Amino acid sequence: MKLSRFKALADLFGGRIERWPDAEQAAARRLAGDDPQARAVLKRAMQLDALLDDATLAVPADATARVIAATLARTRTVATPATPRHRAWRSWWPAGLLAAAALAGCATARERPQWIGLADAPARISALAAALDADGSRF
Amino acid sequence: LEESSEALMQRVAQADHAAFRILLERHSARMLALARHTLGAVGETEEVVQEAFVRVWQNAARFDARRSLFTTWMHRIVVNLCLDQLRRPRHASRDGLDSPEDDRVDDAPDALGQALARERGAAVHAALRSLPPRQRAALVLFHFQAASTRDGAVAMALSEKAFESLLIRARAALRDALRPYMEDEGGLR
Repeated sequence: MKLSRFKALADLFGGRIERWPDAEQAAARRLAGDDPQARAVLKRAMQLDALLDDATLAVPADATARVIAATLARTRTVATPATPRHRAWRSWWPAGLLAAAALAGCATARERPQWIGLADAPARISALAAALDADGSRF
Repeated sequence: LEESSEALMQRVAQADHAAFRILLERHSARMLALARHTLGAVGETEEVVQEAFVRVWQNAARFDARRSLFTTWMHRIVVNLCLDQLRRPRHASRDGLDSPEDDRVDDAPDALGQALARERGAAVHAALRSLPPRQRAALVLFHFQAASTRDGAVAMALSEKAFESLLIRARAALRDALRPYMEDEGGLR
């Protein structure tokens, strides 16, 4: 590993090599052991980590208790979560609607062919067959 | 054996209040810490975390354990709510007034040490507050929540590269702001 790569990783992940990408940790440790400049880079990154660690905010126990109580009170009154069953129905409804429309179209064609321009379809087919016969063609 | 948060979410999706309570008790302190570090203020953090858990309850059926861990999903909800808060002008005017310094974890043994630690902590919090909100959120996720860059990216709906870019810029800005509190700063840039 080159020092420039080592520095780039320290700038991104900080001074704890265990948080660097697994594949680069061994090479980084070797460089930190061999190269004083790498050690200086690591030290600087660790100083910033330490400053952040010292600034960790404690969460008061009463704040946690308040959040739990208030949230439970709210969820008793808000709608229950949508179940996977509802979700499945929601994902299938467009396809269902399309199928229903197709079925309605077929029923209409059968019962009321004149509504969709098929009333004279049998006569047209007979005329076409007669013309083809007269022409000597075969299906 | 403790039931995983992902398994609990399956029960929450069936409106199981007991499972939801376990999730709340398990994650609320961590989410409060996330909100406090991200918002830099005390008052609104409880509202944000409360709202986040209500959304968990309402949207439990949408959670897909094959796509993310529960904590990553929860991080995303809390971070989004925090960034929404930070965009509001009301928060901008309050930011910095609700200093959380008095609640810092402080284990310095003597009075002078405590005073110095307090000053240093105040400087760190000021530096954190001065970061742009998305940089701050990325740093809080990675450093204070120990999220990986991959999980942090998911939580912020970013590519991993974009998350890493935020993190690098955040650390660089903090290093500049906190230089007086760091030793051996010369010759390494």
